[in-house]
Amino acid sequence: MGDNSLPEIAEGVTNAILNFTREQIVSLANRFRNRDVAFIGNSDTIQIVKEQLKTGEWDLSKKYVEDKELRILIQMGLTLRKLEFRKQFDKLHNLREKIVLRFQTRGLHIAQFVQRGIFAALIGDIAPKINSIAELKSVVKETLENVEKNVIFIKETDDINRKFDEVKTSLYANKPATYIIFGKNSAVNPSNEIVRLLRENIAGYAISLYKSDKGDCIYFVNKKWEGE
Amino acid sequence: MELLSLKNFSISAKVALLEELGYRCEGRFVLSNDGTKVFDKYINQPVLVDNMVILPGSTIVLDDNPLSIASYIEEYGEVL
Repeated sequence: MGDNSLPEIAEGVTNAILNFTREQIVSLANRFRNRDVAFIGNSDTIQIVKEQLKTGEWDLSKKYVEDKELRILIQMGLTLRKLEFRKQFDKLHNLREKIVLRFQTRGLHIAQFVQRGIFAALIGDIAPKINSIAELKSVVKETLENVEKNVIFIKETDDINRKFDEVKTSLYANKPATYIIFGKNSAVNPSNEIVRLLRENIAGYAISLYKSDKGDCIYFVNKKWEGE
Repeated sequence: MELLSLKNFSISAKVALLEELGYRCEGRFVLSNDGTKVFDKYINQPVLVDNMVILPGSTIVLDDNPLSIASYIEEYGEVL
């Protein structure tokens, strides 16, 4: 490489490790300053981020979420889901660690709420019941910010009565507009049992069920709206 | 904007590029010109030469991970 022209270095064009002359480095730096080039790492990283920005779920989410931190966490939830789908578990664990580094465990829980498809189901569940965009934004924000208080993940081995008490206490103490009970595959039956107890024992809440295409069940326990 | 992957750059080419842009490196770490470690501003972790990206906006050196890249795009728009 003896002239100032740049070799073909876009990833995918060549995997060879490239050296550059002093003149070529100066030329690259000048192109960078002129915003003609940017230096990325692994092209997969930027690709997966940009893919999520093109999804219908992000298109829907960004209309109802203005908080910058929550917007990033929604994008990270979508990215976690994609990494899980691709079985890129090292990258998935690495991203989870980064999310915790910046947003602590609470942030990871918000991202996982999106990863599991609960967030998209939530919007679908509450949108028809709400009178204004402002109200919808407010419920969405409240739910995301209180994921740790207002969402319970049921496991197959959970004690049903104990979990029911936990849900009841949360409903009475926090009075959320929406409380969510999530049961993955093997936890569907215990989730159904907890919801049966709720229906028999708690007034003032309407309960609706959303089933994901993976067979997970998501129960939305909504404070009854006027007229319900 | 053309995106060039640093994964194809030799270590000496990465170091030369950093120096040309006003940075240095020491061992695995990227340093600013005053010798302090450069931290990825979105995850508050030191940036390693092996896993860095260099993006426009007053020369932003970050770790190559989806959280930092998404945060950059959220802050600066889809410039990449």
